[in-house]
Amino acid sequence: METTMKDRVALVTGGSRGIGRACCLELGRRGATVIVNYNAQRAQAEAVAAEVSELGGRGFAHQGDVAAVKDMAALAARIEKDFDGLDYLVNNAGVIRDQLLLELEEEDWDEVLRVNLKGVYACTRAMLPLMLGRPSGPAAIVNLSSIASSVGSKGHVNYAASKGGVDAFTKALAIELAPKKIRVNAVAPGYVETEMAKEVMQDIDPRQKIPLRRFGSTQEIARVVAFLLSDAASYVTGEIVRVTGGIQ
Amino acid sequence: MTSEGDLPIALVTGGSSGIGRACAIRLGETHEVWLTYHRGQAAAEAVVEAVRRRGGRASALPLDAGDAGSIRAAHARFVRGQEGRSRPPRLDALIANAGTFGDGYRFFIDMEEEEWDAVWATNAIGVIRVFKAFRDLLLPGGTVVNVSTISAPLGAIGYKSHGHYGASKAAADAFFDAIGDRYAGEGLRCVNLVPGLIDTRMLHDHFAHELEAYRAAIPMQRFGEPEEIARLIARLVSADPRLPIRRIAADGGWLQKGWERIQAPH
Repeated sequence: METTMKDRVALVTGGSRGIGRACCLELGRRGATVIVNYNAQRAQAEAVAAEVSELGGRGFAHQGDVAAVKDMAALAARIEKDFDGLDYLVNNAGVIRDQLLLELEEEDWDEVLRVNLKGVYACTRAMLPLMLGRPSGPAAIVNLSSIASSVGSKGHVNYAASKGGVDAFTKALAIELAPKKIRVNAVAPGYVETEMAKEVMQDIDPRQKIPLRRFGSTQEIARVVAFLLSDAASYVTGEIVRVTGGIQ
Repeated sequence: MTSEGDLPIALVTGGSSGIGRACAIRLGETHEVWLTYHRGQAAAEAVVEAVRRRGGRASALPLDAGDAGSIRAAHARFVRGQEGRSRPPRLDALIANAGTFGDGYRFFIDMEEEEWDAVWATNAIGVIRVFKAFRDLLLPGGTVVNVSTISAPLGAIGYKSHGHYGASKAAADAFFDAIGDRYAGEGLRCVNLVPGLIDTRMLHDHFAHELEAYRAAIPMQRFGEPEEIARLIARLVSADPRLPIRRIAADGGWLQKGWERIQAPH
C-alpha cells in the first residue's frame, strides 16, 4: 500500500527528537536517503541517522540552525554536492516558550518566531533550487503546523502566531509552486506525546478533551507527513491536514 | 486468487462511472468490491468485469440513493451475498460517492422544486441513509470516505448555478464531521474527501464550454485524474498503517486561491 521512497532524498529539520525523529524513521523505513538536521543534539541526531540506515534507508546527520540563512546555504551546498538535489523537505524544527502575554519577554517572542517561522522561510528558500526538475518525479514540501494555529488556548500567543504564519506560508507557497509541480502542504498535529509538549499536556485529560480519547503518537504524525510527500497525495496541495484525534 | 472471505470488503456507491469507477477498480486490488449503480447497469457490469479480469472480486448492486426503499433492498442483497461464509456479513470500507448534479446550468432560483428536492434526496439525505443502513456492518477499524466536492467549501466554484450542488454536499460533510466524533472512540473513522475538478464525464457534461478556462484557473494547471483520487481513497481506507486524518482536499491547490477563484469563468 505504501509507496517506496527509494532513490529519493529527504531533509527533515529538527530531526533528532520527537515528531522530526519519527519522520526520519518513517521515510527511512520506505528506503529514502534522509538528512537528519539538528541544531544542538548532535549525538541524538547521529543515533537517528544510524537508525534510518538500519531500517533500509541511508541516514546522515547535519548540523544547522534553520533560521540562520548562512547555515542553510551551507547545508544546501552540502546536499547538492553529496546527493545532487532534494526530493522531500520536512520543515519540522520548532521551539516553544510558553507564557501568558503579560509575562512574555521580547526574547521569548522573537526566538519562537525566529525558529518556527523564519526557519521555514530560510530553509525552504535555500533548498528550493535543489528541488526543481527532480529525475524521479516532482518534489514535495511538508511543514509542521499545530492545532494552536486554529484553536485558541492561553499561554501560547507566540507559538500560535508562529504556526498561523506557517499555515499562511504553506498556502501561499503552494500556489506559487503549483505550476512547477511542487506540492506544499502542512500537518497540524493536536496533542502528541513528545518531550516538547510534555508540560502542555499535563493539564489535559484526553478522555475528556479528545474524541479519540488518547494523545497522538509521533509515528502517527510521521505517517501523514510521508503520505503527503508520496504520490498517493499527487493532487493535494495547499492543504493544512489536521491530525488531532478529532478535535475540531 | 484469494479465497472468498479473506479480503476486506468495500462498498462503492455510484461505482459505475467517474471517481466511483476508478475507485472500484483500484480497491479491487486489495478488497472484495461491491459497487452500486442507479441507471448505469451495463457500465457497472463492465466495472465488475474489469475488476475480475485483474483477478479481483466484485459485484454490482442497484441502489438509488434518493430512494429509501432502494437503499434497504441493496442492504438486504449485500447481506445475502455474504451468506454461507465462515464469518458474519461485514463492511470494512464505505465509499459514499454517489451524487447528482441536477441540471447544473440553471441558477437555483430558476430550478423546479422537484429538481432541487431530487439533488438533496441523493446528495444529502441519501448519503446519510446509506450510512445509517450499513452502519451495523461497519466494523471497529472500518472507514467511511465521504466523497464531497470543492463546491461545498467554495459555494459555487465561480459558477453561479452550482450552489444547489455545493449546499447539498456540504450538508453531508457536516453530517460526517459529527458522525466521525460520535464513533471515534469505537474505532470507526469518517473521512471527508474534497476533490477539486476531476476529469470525469460529469466535468465534461457540466463545464464543456469553458473547460480550458477552468483548467487555467487551477494552480496545478490540470484537472485531477479519477485514478489519482482512487489511489488517494485506497490509501485512506488502508489499515496498513492507518492514516489518522478526518478531512483532506485534493484540488490541485484551488481552495487556497482566494480572490482569484471568483475570476473563474461564468
